[in-house]
Amino acid sequence: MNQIKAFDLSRVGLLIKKEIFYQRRAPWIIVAGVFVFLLIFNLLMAEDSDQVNDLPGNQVIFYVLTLLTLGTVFTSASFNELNNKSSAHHYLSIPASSLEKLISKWLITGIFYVVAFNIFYIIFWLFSDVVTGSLFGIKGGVFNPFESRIEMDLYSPWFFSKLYLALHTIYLAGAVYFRKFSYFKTAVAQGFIFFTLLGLIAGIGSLFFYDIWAEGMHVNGNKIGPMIGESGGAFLMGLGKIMLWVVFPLWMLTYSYFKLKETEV
Amino acid sequence: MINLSDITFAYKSGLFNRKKGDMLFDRLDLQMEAGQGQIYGLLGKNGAGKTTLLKLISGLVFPDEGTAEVMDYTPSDRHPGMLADIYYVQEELYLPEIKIKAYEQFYSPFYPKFSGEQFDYFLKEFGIDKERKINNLSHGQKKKVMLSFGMACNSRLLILDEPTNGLDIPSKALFRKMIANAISDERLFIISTHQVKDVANLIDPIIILENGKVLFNESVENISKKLSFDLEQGLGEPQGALYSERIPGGYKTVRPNTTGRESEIDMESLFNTIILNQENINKLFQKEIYHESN
Amino acid sequence: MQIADHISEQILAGQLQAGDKVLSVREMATSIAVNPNTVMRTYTYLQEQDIIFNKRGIGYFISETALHKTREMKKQAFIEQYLPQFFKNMDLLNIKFEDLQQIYENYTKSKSN
Repeated sequence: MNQIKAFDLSRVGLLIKKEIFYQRRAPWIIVAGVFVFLLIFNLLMAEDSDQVNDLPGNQVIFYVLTLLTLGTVFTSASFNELNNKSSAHHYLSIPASSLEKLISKWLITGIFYVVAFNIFYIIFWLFSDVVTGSLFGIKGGVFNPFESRIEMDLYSPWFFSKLYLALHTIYLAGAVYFRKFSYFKTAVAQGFIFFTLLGLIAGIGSLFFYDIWAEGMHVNGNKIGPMIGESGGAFLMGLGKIMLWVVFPLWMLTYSYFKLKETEV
Repeated sequence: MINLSDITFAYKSGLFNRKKGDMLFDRLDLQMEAGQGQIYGLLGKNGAGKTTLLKLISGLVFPDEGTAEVMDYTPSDRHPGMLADIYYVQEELYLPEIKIKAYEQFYSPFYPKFSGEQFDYFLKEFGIDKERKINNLSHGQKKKVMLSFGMACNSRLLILDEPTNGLDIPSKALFRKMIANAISDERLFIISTHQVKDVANLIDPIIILENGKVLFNESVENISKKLSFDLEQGLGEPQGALYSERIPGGYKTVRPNTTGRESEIDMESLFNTIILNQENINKLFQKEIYHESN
Repeated sequence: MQIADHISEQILAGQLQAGDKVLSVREMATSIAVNPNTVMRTYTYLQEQDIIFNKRGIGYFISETALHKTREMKKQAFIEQYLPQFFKNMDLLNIKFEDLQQIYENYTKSKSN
């Protein structure tokens, strides 16, 4: 009876193939728009700038903003099929499990998007560099996310891509949960969750380390602090990292899975 | 193949869909089996819950209480194995804005028993060019595409919600031929419709939904044994009939079958008879069960 | 039962003769767009009437006695079902049996011409 397994990677592949085919037209307009927009800003900044060396650093913000904004808007639209009764009926009837459907959406809005965006940015950088170079004679005036910079260790494209991958899961959950205006609703909900989490972490942290935090610590008669002790800081950092990179995305994905599984028409 | 027992279902509304609205199904029981020519006709008044019942069977809505079993799966699990063996043609169609050919390319791999040859054949019969984009088609043409695709999937369960809505007159005849040809021992079709005349010779058994329950579930053979359908000439209202309806030149009547001769079932009269004479009908159809068990 | 009538008429008209193969259940169902169950019931009925017979795995065939049996069956149906209504109308319209005979003779005469 159960010749058809509950999970099959080839079906995930079929879903992705279908999804990419559907998306093949709409994004190009947006991509072109963003490209032009970025280019104009870049030119304005390049023209205005005295210090060529500051330019790339200032332009990190463009990379980050477009990466996150485009991605979360794209992710919010990823369960558009569920907005309308008959398309929801159609989507939920496709012979694939909820897990397969969620994974296909996660891959497209997560990994595939990040790869595509970085490719897009490299092309933009190459193009932009040529333009600014020929117009203002400035070479290397555009931020290249893939150029290794020691001072920008934390702000490497990998860090931001990783950040996007962690954050976009909440927009995925929002896309499953909210029927209309899911981007804005998710953004609001995200702020709420963010501050709750922040409060929780700070609360838990202060509970354990309040003394050290407030009074400092006396070790062999020498006073250390008053500030967060080194071990406490490391602990908080570690907790935060696990929360951000692991617990939070998994929580959101689990939520999305059950929400999708329990969606009725 | 389909076993629903003690199903309770109410529409949900309010925040988080917690609030229960009007009760639609109240301890509903329904068994359906595949077999030679099992093309179930699902009839019921507006709002009787025909579409909801079909969605319940295909795992698109979940019962509040009771158990549902479809082809050894629990429908609400939406197991791919079950979904691959169900094709549901909706009354209000949703179709992506792509070519028919692309639709086939992207969706048919999900259905292991899909036959491309059959799909081509059905489309050709309906006179639809596969190169056309689905969004440029009329409602009736879209319906033809979905019916063709659904039949070509060769799923064990084919659910058709108002299949003849939007079809032109020649296509209705074509559709009937295709369905009569496609049904087989292992398959079960369900046609839910108000247009009983379109499928009168096709549907068997007949299921009638009323007041949250399955009011009637009988084979055509049983119906023709128990009831006789006639056109009676004359001016006076026919006496002793379970149901009579004035038509030009006389009356359409439904009476208990006392002669043993089988008459052609008039589906509309049958429906009205059953809705209006629930008690008499129950007695008439239960008596035989009593005899059979002896 | 319209299917039975259809086959009976073909037998009486000589279009179907003893030993001829009848359409399979599925073919018949498809050609006239009815549920195969209905066709099956008709075939079972015709089989009970010795009008057709089943060769296992091959299909249904017209029996040797088909023509005779069909005529008997049709005659019976004519007498039991058609004539009562016919006589009722004769009474209503005040047509005498002699009038009828006259009409029938005219009919056969015009046919032989």
